[in-house]
Amino acid sequence: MPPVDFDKRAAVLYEQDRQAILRRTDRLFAGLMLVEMLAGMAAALWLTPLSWRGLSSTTHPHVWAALLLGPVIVGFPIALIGLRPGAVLTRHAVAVGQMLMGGMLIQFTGGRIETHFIVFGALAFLAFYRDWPVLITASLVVAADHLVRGFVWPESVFGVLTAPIWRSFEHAGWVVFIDIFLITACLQGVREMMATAGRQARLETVNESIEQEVQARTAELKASEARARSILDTAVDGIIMIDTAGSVEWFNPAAERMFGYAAEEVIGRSVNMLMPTPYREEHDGYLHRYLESGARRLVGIRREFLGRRKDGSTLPVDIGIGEVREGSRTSFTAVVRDITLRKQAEEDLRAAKEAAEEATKIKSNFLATMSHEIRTPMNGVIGMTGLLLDTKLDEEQRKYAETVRSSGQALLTLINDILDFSKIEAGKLQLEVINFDLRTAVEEAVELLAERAFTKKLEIASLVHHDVPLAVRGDPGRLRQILINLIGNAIKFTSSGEVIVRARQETRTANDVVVRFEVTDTGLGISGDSQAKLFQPFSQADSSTTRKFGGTGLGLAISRQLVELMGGQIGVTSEPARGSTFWFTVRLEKVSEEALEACGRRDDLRGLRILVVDDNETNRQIVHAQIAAWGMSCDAADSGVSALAVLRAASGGRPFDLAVLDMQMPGMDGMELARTIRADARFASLRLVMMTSVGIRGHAEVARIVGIDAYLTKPVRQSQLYDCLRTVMGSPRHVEPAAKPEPSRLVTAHVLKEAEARSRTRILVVEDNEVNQMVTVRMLEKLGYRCDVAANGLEAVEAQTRVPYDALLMDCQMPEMDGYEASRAIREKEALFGVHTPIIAMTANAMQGDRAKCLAAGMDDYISKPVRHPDLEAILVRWLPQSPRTPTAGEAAATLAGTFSPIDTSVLDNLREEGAKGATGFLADLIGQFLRRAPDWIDKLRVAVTQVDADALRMAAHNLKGSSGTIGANNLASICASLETQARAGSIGQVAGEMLSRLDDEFARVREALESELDS
Amino acid sequence: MNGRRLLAGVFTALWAAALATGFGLMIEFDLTPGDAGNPAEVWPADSGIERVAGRPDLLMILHPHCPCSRSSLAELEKIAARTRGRLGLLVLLVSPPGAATGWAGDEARLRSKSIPGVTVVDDVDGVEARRFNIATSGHTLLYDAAGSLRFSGGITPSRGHQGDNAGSLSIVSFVNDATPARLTTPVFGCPVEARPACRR
Repeated sequence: MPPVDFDKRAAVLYEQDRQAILRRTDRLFAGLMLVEMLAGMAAALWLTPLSWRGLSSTTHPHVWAALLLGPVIVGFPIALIGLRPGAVLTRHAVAVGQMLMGGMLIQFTGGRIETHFIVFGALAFLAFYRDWPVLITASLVVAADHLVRGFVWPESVFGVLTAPIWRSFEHAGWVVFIDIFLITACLQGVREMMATAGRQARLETVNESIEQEVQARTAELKASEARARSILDTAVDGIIMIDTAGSVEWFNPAAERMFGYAAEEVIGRSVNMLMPTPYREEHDGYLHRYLESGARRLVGIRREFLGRRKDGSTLPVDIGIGEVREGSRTSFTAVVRDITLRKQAEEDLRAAKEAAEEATKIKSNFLATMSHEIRTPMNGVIGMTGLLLDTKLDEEQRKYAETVRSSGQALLTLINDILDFSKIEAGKLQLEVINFDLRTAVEEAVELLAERAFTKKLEIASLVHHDVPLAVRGDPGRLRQILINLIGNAIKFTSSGEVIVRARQETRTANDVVVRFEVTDTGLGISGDSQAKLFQPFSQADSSTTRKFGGTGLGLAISRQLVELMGGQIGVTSEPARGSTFWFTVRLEKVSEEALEACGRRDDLRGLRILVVDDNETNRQIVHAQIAAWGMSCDAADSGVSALAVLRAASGGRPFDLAVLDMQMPGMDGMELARTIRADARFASLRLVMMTSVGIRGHAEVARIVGIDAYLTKPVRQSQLYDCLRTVMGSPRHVEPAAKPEPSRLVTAHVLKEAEARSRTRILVVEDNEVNQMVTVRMLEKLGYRCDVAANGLEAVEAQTRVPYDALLMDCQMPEMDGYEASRAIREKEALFGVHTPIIAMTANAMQGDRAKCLAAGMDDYISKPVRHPDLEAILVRWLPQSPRTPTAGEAAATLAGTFSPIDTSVLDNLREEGAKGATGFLADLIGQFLRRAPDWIDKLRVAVTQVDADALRMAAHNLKGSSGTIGANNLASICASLETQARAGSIGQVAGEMLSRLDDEFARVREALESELDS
Repeated sequence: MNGRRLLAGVFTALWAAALATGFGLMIEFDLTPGDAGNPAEVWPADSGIERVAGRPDLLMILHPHCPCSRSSLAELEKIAARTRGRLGLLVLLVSPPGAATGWAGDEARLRSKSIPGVTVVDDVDGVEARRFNIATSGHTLLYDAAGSLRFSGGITPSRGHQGDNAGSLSIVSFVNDATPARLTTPVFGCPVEARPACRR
């Protein structure tokens, strides 16, 4: 609607209204003046009919005036009213005529005072015009009359010849007085008319707007109705409308086609004619019940139904019924769709689905069988090669054997990839959910590939940010698989530089944490176009990559699927020739540190009796050979039945300590065998280790419930089996036969890795510089140590409170709290518990004063930056009680003969080498001297403790510590260091006494070891 | 448009002229006085009208059918009200010679008698009018207690017109305030006889 000029419209309306009033008033005055004229005539005829002279009389002049002058007075205004109603001249002529008529009447009545009121009445009537100038005109007529009379015959006005001036004012005053009121009333009337016109203008606008809206809505309604009718007529679905009695009111063409009735045949008849029995009989009841109770059986609900055609045949229909309420009238609409074809398609689909499921089942079985059939020979190849490499081989043979093993590993990786991908594609891959140590998972992945990185002279390091919670719940195996894939790719495509693995917290809730892992390399990099294809299966950055670097191209696709299964995302950022960063996130549940309970380990496996049960002879041979090599007694069985027979036979004499069971065996499989064993009270103390070549989701849980102690997936590495046996034999086993098997923590490959990691020496690196952190961590990992990082002194003090670190590498200059202060704080806390952790300062200030400052702060030693590998190794050997390196399987076997010696054999080896360079018998002399001097120092220590002599205690402890360190008796040196610290602190009490007792025991072990060394 | 205006102007002017003429003639008629006569300076001795000793008298002659009599009697009533009995009020209803019995009618008589204190005297053949030497209906004479003429003239401002007038004011002033001034005012009314009864 165009904008409206309310004022203009109001002016028009006002003018219209005003004109109406003017014309109406004109008509009023026309009538009034006619009446006045007649009244004047009547008055003249009645009051002054005759003028007399004695006995004679003539018509009085007033009569002539009434008859002649009256019509003249009123004639002109009345003519104007007829000709020009509402004109200005008309109403002013009316005003003049009205006043003159008044004057004439006054004259006729002899000037009666009452007739003067006609003048005021005429003024009031003239106010009907609401045009104040008319009043002025009328007043001027009065004024002119008085003026003329005043001049011509003043006595006719005032009654005297010389009237005072106030009489004139009084006369004028009355007229002015009434004029003021009447003019005010006129103006007020005009204002009210204008206001009314304004309101009317707005009202008109609103009305017009409403009218337009109504018209628009009406048009829309008509269009909508036309559309609805068009839709109803052309709809593919049948549309039927019925009233509350069930009579059809509407039957569209589609319904006609569907049911075979013409609309005329159906309209007005009951809709149940379109239904077969029993729906026909039930329909009216439904409708009645719904109308009575509102209980919905059909209305508002879509359902399938059977319809009946005119020819009596039925058809399946999908029907949706709606209710339409129009005021008090209710009707129902039914949209009916013929689903004959759909039903047929569903039937076909169901058959196809069943066929596909059958095919999938066959495929799954095939995959399981393939997995078993492939892994079993692969187990043989890799296992046998491992055993072969432990034998004496010449260089060429070793090279061949190494090639066989690496090729086998590569083939196994390839097979695993393909099987994983098949499982993922089939939606069969499901994740384990177990508690695990995140750091261990990362370090394990790095460690696994470290050898390959070193071979290419690449630096490789990992850094788990301190805000990442370590105790989490998820699938560590799959997480490691992703990391290994990404790290392996990074190493593969990097010719020089480094590969860095980082883990940091992205988001965290009360229960979950989303961890972001990044694998950064300095390799080839990937162009933007190729990045998009990376995570697609069977694709690599370009085809030449496959030729040059090998690989199936499945790794990243599998990783993507695994990451998505873990509720995360995966991606890459890369610059060609600068390197790439592959990242992924996973959502993990947080668990308490206590949930990661440490597994105890049995150190000495010698003399144990082991039964190996496997239908595959090669596997039996491998395991048998390995176990025998570790000093255990080993028997074998090729089936579950024979195994039970062997076990029963042994139970009467020397029972087996542990049985290694293969899962996939014909007849009685491993799980069944385990159940049978657990059901027999005679084998209650028997440990069970299950080995499977097919990792199936849920098997581990079943194994735990059955009472199996360990569950490993083939091929099993020697070291893994060794650790497994140590762990299983180190754990208690419930022997009460009546007791229900208590679900305990199942030993899996991951548990073994964690336990192994826990057993390693743990060092806290306190360093604010991230590069230095990584360098130091990498060096320590190369040396076989397990590391945590703290970014400043405060974090270090806090971390030392939580974790019993074996040593701290402390940077001196750090924000928040420097190394000196942190060391003092740690020493103060340690003094309370009588312990002493070696703190080794790392500083770039290589001045002598710095060393003194470090020692004064409670630090034990000092290493200059940049830290060099040999220096670090040497200082750690000096301060840590035992070598951190994990024994290989061969070393483990060797260790059985004399492991856990209180003497660091490497120190002795060095001394031996030193001796070889110089005088003969150097080592023997050294040992002899130590064995002679040490008892004296121990006596002095005892005396000092007894006498509470701090200085004597410190001196003796210091001397014994130095000698012990030199000879490689690191534990002894550590105890001495603690005593020395206590002596410095002046706290010699019960703790010192207890430490002295430990010192005696340790010295006894050292003596035995050294004497043995002398004997050898 | 201008033609219509001009026409309207012309008609307006003609109308104004007609009105002026009509009203001029009417006003002229209304303001034209009758014969003032030559009234007796002293109460005529031969008058048959009795006087009350020591009281001034006001004498008015009336033509019984003159329309102006109504206004003159209305003014006389006001004078009666203002003088409150200190003045004798006499109305002579003049029947001209030759008038039939009952010619005068009752209207003027009754109207006159309705005024408190008024004595109506039928002046058959206009004898008393001639004694006082006045001939216009509404002519009023005031004689003091001693019988001397103190005022002569009409007591209406114009023909047949009521309202304040110099005659009434003079009479009331004389009676109430003993003002000695004598006034003469024009008389507006019909001649009581066909021939001039007197000379000015």
